Amino acid sequence: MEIDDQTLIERVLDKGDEHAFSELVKRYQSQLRYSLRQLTGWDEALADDLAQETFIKAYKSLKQFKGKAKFFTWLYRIAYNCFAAYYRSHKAELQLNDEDIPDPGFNPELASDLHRDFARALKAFEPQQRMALHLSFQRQLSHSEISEVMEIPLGTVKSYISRGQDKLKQQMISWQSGV
Amino acid sequence: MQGTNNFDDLLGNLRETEPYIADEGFTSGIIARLPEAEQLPAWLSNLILLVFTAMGSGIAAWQLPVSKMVSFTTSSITSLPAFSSIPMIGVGATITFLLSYVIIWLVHSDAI
Repeated sequence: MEIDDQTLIERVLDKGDEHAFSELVKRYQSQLRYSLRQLTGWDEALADDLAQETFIKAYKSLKQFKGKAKFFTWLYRIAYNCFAAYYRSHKAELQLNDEDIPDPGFNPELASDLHRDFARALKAFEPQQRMALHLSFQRQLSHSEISEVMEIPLGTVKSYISRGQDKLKQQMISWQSGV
Repeated sequence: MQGTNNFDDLLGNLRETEPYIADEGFTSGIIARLPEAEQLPAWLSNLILLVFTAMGSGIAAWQLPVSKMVSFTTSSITSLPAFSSIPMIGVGATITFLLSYVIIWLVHSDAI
């Protein structure tokens, strides 16, 4: 029987149980690393660095987790802050790199290319909108949940998603005829 | 509406085919980087222990008739046949110290 997140968190807080924390990391590492790959244009090394930073920050601030939201949602808030901070501090450098990226080819035969192409399509958006689109389309969070995770107004979330959806449709048009 | 359906299908496909990213040392890397639990410096914890031990001993000495107890214990020990000689007291004390040392060593080595 799988131990629930809250019990594992209590073990970490009460006994400093690193094994309990490693269970939480194992449980969510794949989803979080995948999300960060989507957000970073499928830069695996950067995504893993950000995921690592996210888990370490989560460990340090675990006392602040009140259990009102799901642990995973709380983890995403930290991940978003790490991601946004990274983009703020590397903005100029990242804009230069983006100009050098060649047009990505795609192969509908391979599912993994769909993920990479979607990640590249998301790069056309500012980090905040990128996160909102990812949380809505990939994680299927409601608008209010996204608003809560990202700590932005609900109206902004709705606007990001409705505008972003049209642009994404255009960017992924080749895949839509292939689906 | 065809475009919308296709886009919804695309998103559905994206979610269904989300790959599982193998751990491959990711978790152990994080655990190795976790900060150690905050501990008091050794000198401070020793000082606290010393102060509280001294306070406890002081209160005990103040409350108990220590001089009477010491004289009673001394006379009781010296009246015993086995402890009537100084060498025997020395042997007893040595055994006590050795046993204490072994117990402290076992506690520090997490053997018990």
